[in-house]
Amino acid sequence: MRVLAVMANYDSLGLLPLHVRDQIEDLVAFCERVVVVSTTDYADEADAEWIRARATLVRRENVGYDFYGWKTGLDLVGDELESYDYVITCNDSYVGPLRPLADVFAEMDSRPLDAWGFNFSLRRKPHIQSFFVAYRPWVVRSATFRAFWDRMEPVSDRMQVIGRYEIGLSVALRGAGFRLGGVLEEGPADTRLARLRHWRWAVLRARRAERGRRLKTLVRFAREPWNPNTALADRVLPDARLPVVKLDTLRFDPYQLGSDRLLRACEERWPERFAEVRADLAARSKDYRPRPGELDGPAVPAWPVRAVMGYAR
Amino acid sequence: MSLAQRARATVRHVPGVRRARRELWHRRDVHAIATSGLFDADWYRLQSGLDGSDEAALEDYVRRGRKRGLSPAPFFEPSAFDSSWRKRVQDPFAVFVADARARRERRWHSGLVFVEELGTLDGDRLAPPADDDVVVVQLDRDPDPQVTPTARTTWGRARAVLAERAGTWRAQEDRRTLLTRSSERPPGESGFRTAMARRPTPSRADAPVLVSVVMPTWNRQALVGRAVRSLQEQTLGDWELIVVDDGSVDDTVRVVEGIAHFDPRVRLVPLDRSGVGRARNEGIARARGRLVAFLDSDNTWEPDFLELMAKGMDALGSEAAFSSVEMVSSRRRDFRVGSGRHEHLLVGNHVDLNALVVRADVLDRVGGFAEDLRRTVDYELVLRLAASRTLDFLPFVGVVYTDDEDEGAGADRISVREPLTWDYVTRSRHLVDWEALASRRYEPGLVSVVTTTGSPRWATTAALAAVLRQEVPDHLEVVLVDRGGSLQDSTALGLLELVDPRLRVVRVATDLGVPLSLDVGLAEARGEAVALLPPGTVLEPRALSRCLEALGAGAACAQPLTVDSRDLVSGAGLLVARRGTWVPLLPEHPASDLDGAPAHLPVAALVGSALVARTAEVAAAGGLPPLMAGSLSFADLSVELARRTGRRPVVVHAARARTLGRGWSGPLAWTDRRVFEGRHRDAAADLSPLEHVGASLASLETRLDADGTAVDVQARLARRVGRVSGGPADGLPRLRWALVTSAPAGPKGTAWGDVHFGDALARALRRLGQDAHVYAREAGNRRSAHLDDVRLVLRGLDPVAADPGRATITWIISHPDTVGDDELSRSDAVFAAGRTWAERASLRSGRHVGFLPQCADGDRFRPGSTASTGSPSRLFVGNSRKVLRPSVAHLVGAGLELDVYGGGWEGLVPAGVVRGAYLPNEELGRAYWDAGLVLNDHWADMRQHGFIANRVFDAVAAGGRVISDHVDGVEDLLGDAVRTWRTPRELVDLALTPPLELFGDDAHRREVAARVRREHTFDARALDLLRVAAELGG
Repeated sequence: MRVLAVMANYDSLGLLPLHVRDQIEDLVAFCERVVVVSTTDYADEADAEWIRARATLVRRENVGYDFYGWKTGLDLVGDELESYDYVITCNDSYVGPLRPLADVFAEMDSRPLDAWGFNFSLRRKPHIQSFFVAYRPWVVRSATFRAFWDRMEPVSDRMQVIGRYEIGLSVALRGAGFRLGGVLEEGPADTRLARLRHWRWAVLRARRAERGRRLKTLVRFAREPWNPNTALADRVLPDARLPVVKLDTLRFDPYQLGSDRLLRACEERWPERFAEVRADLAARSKDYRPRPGELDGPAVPAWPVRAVMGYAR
Repeated sequence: MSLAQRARATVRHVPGVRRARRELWHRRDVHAIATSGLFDADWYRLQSGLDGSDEAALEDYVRRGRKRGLSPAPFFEPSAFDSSWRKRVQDPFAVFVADARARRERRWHSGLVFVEELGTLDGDRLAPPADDDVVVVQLDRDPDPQVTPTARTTWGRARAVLAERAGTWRAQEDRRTLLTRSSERPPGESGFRTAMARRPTPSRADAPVLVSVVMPTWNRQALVGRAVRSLQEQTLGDWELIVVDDGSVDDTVRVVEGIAHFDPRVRLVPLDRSGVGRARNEGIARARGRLVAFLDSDNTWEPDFLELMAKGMDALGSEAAFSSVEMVSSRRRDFRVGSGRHEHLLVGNHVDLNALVVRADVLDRVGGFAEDLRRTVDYELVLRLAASRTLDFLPFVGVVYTDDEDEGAGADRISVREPLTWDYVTRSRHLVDWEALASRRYEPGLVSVVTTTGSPRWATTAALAAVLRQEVPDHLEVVLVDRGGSLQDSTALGLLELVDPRLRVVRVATDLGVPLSLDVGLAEARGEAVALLPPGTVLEPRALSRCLEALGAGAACAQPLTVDSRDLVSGAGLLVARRGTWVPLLPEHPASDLDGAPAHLPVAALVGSALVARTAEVAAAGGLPPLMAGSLSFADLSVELARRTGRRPVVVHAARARTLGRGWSGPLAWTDRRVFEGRHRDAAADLSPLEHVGASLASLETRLDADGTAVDVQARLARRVGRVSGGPADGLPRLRWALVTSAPAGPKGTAWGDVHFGDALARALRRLGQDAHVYAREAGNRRSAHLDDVRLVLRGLDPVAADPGRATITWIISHPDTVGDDELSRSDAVFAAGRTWAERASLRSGRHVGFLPQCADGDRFRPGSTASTGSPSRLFVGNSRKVLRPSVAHLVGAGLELDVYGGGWEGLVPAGVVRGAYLPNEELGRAYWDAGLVLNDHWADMRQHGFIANRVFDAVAAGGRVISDHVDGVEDLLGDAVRTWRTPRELVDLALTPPLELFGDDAHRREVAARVRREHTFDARALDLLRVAAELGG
């Protein structure tokens, strides 16, 4: 199977953390070609050399978020794109995959999906979260895919990027009749747990609303779909059914379910892959400010919560 | 509303009261009708298809039949008797039988046929007509009953015709309505399902797969996945899917590639765009299954569709079968069910292609889909399949359509993009065999007029009456196509065949549109020449024979020059203004614009009127194209005839026709335009028709609709400008004049003096080198108005709408009392034919009103060439207008002899005084010259305001000795040519004085006449008006 991966890379400290190196090694082992599009101003040029030794490195200025990086990489590959059996676009915002990519792809090969990601979310509109997307060749050849990347402009507002590009890409592909999905297939137990966690999150969020609007806010949030990536983040354990852990989940613990506990469990399960993750998060904490309106910071939920619905119960 | 009324209204809303009240009325109606003895039970059974007793028939009529449009007796039509009968509880026939006056009339007006002397009256009681009673049948509401063919026939014969037509109607109606839609699920569905559940899945025999599903697709990226999923979810898995992409420009192909990647039963066949028929055929060619099914890419099947179809067909040994289709909308739920027989399918398609499964070998034999159709290809195949076998109906719902089916498809659907008339194209292939018609032997000397029913009914009768009155060299036959008319219309038309044996009525079960209906009629034509007459077109006398002459003179086809209800041209053919741009010739122009044109004016195409051609050539050309719904179908046929024969279509100027309203353009005129221009976009520009009528093209005006699509293109013409050289108008400008009269358009207007006045003035203006045309009062807002330089309003009875922006001259020639000051201020120059009125109006309004008296028609009135007869006769020409006019009254009162010519004098004067209803115009001048005295009097308002009648001028111009009542100014204008009276005594004295004493000898009379003909004719007035117009800068 011929696979192309285009990876977007950025590090606020100008470093190449261990989990990113692992990620690149994994991609290189699985793909025929890997293009790393980096906006990192490497403190040590040896890091760039390390990448060059394994993949095509494209360096560019830090505008347009990951999407413009992927566009740069895809443009670089040009017409050759259509010759691959899969095209992957991903970034370095997660730790993993925690089981071999070949296994993940073998599993996904039999599922009738035209494009898939590690996480498929129904929030706002059904979409594949952009940190890892795999496209089948007929999608890559489609007019919709081509038009999406051709018409892209460098947008540097995170919410706009999510709306126009992350969700926009899925909306366009679904509108063209393509079937999209995610690696994690929710079972009934998953759904029950996710719903419980989501409702608790809704209660916590509603508390922050103005007095008098809280009930309305609660109802609104509770009705929204959850983000499986957060609500079921511990499904990475024990055998990487969800093959990755998002750094943002560890950093912000958006559902306040005890991300520190999750990290600890991962460190125990995959000591090598998580060896430097805790230190990396601490070193960059000032660069990743809490997002307005969202719950923030690793939380330590009370024991009943921990027992019933906390991460890594 | 009184308290009692309110109470009654309230009580009616109590549940059950309404029903009880209706029941009570029904009982009363049944009783009243039964006792009248007028209910014709046999007749009713024939229409309703019911068996049973007479009483049961009457009950059925009162409770159900009348609402279905059935009739209780052959001569009774509810809506003709009471147009609002549907709103009433009481049955209209029950009202009729109780109405002594209605019974006494003994007549039936159907709007199409008029039957008199129906039944026999015994006191107040009407007995139904007996078989040997004589009845009188004629065309209803014929404008000219004097020449209407009228038949006296026996009631037995008339009833037999009515019965035969009612039987035909019933049979066709059955085919039309036979179980095509139902609000119930298909009967026997659960039994069928149970039986099928017990059957094994049939074997695929030696085929590699049991069912091949053919799915054509074009730009359906969002929907095709759903369609395939409905196949993948079928309970029968032994299938293959062949998706044929008809050149999609979206991602349909990519989506199907994705589907095929995961399901090897799915195959994709990409094609360049070549139409749905070809796409399906490519799919069929690759099909390997024993059965072939069709699923459109925007539809879905119910999960057990294939299983039940395969098992059901196996059980029946069926070659082709279809299931029911459920149609769900927000308001209702319908099930399409029905017969798969050819005769039923010909009336309308009720077999959905998505619900049809055919054995592959049968499909091979029948051939695939027609590739030349852009719509209804499925219907065409269904018809072809059904022609040699009945399609079996399997009673279950296999397909469900919901209102939201169109989501995501939008304007790309064939049903949106392509005209509905493809349905007619498909049906025409099974209705008319053109090859056989082209090779048929037609009867020499026989002319066939083929026409169809129109709406309202009088449009049909007016056209028919005019056709039956046509004089043609040899024989005439008329084929009238009844387009699925009501029972009453169908039976009435049958009776018309009795009225005139040249008429034959052909009925088609549904309205097939005008072009296809005429094609069906054409198949019945036996004459070597045919006239295709669109509905609502009335031929004027000799129109047909003149068109036939043009055909004899070598035209490919011919049409009469046609005017609309405003007397403006609505059909004078088409010309090609520039390559592929077809525009009508002189639309909304006066017919007089064609006065100088050749008798047979060659044009690029005929439109808007009857088309006369050789029948065999029309058949060889395939008749009128059913794809077009309107008058451009005639244009298309004429172009095709010209192409095939190498001769030109011609407009025959001397042959005239009149359309009701603004002429027939047909529904969907814009679609016709698109089709027509698509077919003839390569036609080379040819402006010769314009040159023939002395006009030239200034520009083309395109009217766009809201979407920016061109819906209409018109030629804007240029006018010849310059100055007159020679003659009395030497050096004056050459202008285009619009003479607008107060007279109505059409035949009604010809009785108005205003029209003759306008015509005479227009002729005089033309003699001065002017381009003058007369218009009726309705013709104000017309497309050709921009060409006019001068608008001359000949103000008579009614004001004429203002038209600012053009030099306007108003000449008040009569009815001054009705003229308001605002009318005066709207004109650039105003004249009145009465001096007194002109002076007073000038003073009153402050607007100068000039005096311009009426005048004589110098063309027609001149002294006789021989000496007068010396007769002492006293001549009065004029209608009574329902009053005893003073001149006549006083002379008759004095016992003097008098010759009156005119109408409406019956009962006003002694017998013998009136010599005739009218004196022909060509004899009038000579009569004035020969008469001892010519008497005239004026209407009171005309006399009071100094308006001298033009009859006075005409009589004097003819050398007549005129005695008139006194009008101010008459002596100044006409001197001693007119003797006037103020009192009856003076009139009698004048009448008794020898004429020679009053008016001198012939030589003197000739001298006076010559002066009047010099100073007071239309030529003199025309010159005056031209000078005024030139000053106004016209």
